[in-house]
Amino acid sequence: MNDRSFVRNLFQSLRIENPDIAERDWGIAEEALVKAAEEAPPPTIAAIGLTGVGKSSTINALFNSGLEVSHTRPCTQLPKPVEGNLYEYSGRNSNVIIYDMPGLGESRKADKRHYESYMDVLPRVDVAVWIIDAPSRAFTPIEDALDYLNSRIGAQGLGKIVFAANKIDTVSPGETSWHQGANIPSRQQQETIVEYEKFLTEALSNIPGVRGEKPVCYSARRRFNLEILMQEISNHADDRRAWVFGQAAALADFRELVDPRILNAVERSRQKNHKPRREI
Amino acid sequence: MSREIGPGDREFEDVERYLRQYMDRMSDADQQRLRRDERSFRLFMAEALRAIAKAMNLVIRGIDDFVRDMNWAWKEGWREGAEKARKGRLRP
Repeated sequence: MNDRSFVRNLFQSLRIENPDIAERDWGIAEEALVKAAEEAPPPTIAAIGLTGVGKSSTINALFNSGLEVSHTRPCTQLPKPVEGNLYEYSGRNSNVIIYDMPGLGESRKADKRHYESYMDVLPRVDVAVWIIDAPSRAFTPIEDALDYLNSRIGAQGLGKIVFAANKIDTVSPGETSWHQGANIPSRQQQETIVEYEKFLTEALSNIPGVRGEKPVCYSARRRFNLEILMQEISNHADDRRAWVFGQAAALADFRELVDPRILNAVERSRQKNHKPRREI
Repeated sequence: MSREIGPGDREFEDVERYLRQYMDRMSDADQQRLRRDERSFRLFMAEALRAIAKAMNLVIRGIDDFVRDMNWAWKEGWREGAEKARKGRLRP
């Protein structure tokens, strides 16, 4: 989006409605507005999860389009050090600030320490993505942490958290069951995914502050359900900040992993059955 | 061993239906997100413009209309930009 021409066009109508304002003032206001849009801080995300759960691949799949991860510390000033690493990803569209936060379940002592990190980081980020390794059902450590966080920072802080289960392509009966050509779960995996979503939804429904949250089951590697994950991230951002996620988003294309013969057949069928959707 | 299917297979109809519904869902999610982005950007711009006007001691009438007009700009500008970015993506 070209902010400058965008704002210039829009100012035409304001000029007509406000003939008393001097042209010089319009120029200053226009510049200031463009600057405000250009200098809006990049999206800030806390990626919470155990090592190997796919935090980096998730961020790459959502924002990066295959660019290398830059491990330079961003200029964001922290009032005090936090556990975990802070990265600035140079995405294709714009930068994204990531707090790489440790996951839970290694030991009770370590978990308690991590709670403090979460408390420290959650107020600073736009959105937190809590990444679970599907089909893990070890939810008690997460439940304990959320109970604790709810008592300390309340539902508003927890409202930033998107619960996401990665590696959904590996669920029972196993990765080999995944339809390679169509890049979709097999029928048995579809049933497992439905069951797993139900399990996660129920587990979350027992925790004050996150009741009603719907987890997203996805696969960063297969690029499966990334649009749903990105939508949830946008929905969990503040109303005035969701657009910065839109600017940074560069989702890996699921269709590239579908056999072109199957994809063509599906695209033809979609065009044939296309019904114009009513704009909301 | 990985499973591979093609249009000649018996399962293809099921797979094709699933994939079609999946792609429709993703497309809807994308559209809804873009609409949220647009509303969010309008809110941000309106708030920023109000703050600028206040700092400059100006009374600007019609900021709400200004925000509504952005719907037009969105269609003409932002969407076009998104499409351009999609075409220019780095991945082959």
